[in-house]
Amino acid sequence: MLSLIRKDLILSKRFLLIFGLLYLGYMGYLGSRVGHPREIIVITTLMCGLLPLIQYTREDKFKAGVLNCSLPVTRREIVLSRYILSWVLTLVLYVLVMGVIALLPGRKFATSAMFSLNTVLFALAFMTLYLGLLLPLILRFGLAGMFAFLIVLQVFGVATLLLDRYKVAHLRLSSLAVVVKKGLLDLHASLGTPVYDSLLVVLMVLLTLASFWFAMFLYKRKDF
Amino acid sequence: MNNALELSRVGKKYKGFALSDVSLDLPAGTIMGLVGPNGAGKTTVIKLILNLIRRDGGEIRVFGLDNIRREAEVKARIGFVHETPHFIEDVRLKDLKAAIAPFYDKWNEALFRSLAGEFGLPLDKKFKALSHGMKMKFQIALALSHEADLLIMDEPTSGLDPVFRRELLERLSGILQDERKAILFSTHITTDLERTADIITFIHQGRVVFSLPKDDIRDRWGLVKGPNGLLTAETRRLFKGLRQTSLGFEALTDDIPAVRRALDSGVAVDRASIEDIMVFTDGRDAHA
Repeated sequence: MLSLIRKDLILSKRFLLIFGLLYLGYMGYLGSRVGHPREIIVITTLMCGLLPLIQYTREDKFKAGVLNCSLPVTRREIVLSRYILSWVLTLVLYVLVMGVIALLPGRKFATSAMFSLNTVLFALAFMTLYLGLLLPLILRFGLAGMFAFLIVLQVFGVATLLLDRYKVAHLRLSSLAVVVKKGLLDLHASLGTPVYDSLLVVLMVLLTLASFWFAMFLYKRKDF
Repeated sequence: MNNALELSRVGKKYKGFALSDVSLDLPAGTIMGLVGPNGAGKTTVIKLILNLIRRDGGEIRVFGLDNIRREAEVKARIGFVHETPHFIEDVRLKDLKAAIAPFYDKWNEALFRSLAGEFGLPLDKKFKALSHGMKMKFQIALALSHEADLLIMDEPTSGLDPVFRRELLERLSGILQDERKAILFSTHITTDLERTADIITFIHQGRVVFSLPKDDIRDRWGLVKGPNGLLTAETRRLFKGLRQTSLGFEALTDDIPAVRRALDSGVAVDRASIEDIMVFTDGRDAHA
């Protein structure tokens, strides 16, 4: 397992270093331009999660996946190492970017807003969704999986907007979002913050586990 | 004798191609050459052994271990050379080596350094800067450096110059001084097989035509030449392939003694080379 992570780090060290530094500079600058912490957290999480994922698509580009499967490891270990490394890289980069944003002058919100428990949980939830949905597709289908995900997301977004605009089936999606938000707030109020937050963390862990098992299911069926 | 590799009724189906009931045994201390025309299924067999593709049926054992249930153990004992070297291309050779070596307990750094020097590998260069031949040499150096018990090589001599090819084949034979080791390699270059292999397995259209010791092939397979008048329904049954012109016929047999008994002095019988067997079995230019 550690050998696999070490291998990926050795083979991608140049890529990670160059793009990691670029991300730090770019996201640091962006952090000083955006007015709301939640927006910058969404963008930062998206960008930070992208780095390990692009690293894996490089492997697909060079058809180097066959190397992993000819090494003395199981496919389960390969998938697990990819999940661990993705999370570690995303979190490390996220913390670094947040540090740069906090240090750079010109920021339009307080530092405390970036590091509050709510913000951290929001960032983690977003990472869970993002990595949980994309990793199985990228591990199984490589770059094509990533593109397919982005296209489906675009189509879904356009369809959602159209549905909302033309009130298809008497459905106002903005009203639905309000209902969901109200439901969550009610749940929060009735459970209390500690239980609600713990539940959220458990949900994130379960989602990641489900994603991992799905990725294994797909990867074990991959022919090289 | 213990088998280093056993395949029993292994199958794999693709759209338009099926590998069917492939069975073969590779005893320890021997070199097996896998031969067959393009698309015969040689690479598929190798990929199945390494679990790079999923088999549809059958059983594969490496040193008695199932290649899927004991995947990591099995692969730790295999040195693999792929027909097309696939690594992340913009990485230096020394970094590739540093990434791969820790996977193997028996990694021999001194041997790798020695092979790299011998093969003229520029370890500070990026993989993409190498020619195909040098990429193959790098793969071969990696495969040899962890002192694998079973070397599996898919077209290892492709893209190599004749001098290095000869050296490699001699090196492969040298490895077998340790009789616990074995080698399986596929090739189109039939002279490589005749020079090195102890056992030759011929695959055609996804099926094993034969898997025999080289000496048996030499003794039993022959090219028969004679006048057309000797061809009857009965004598035709002795041939695996037949080419006929107005001047006479040329045919392949896998039973020289039977041909001699049936046709005796009326025909000339020469030993068949692997290439002859491939050409006649393929049947694309045979006219029966």
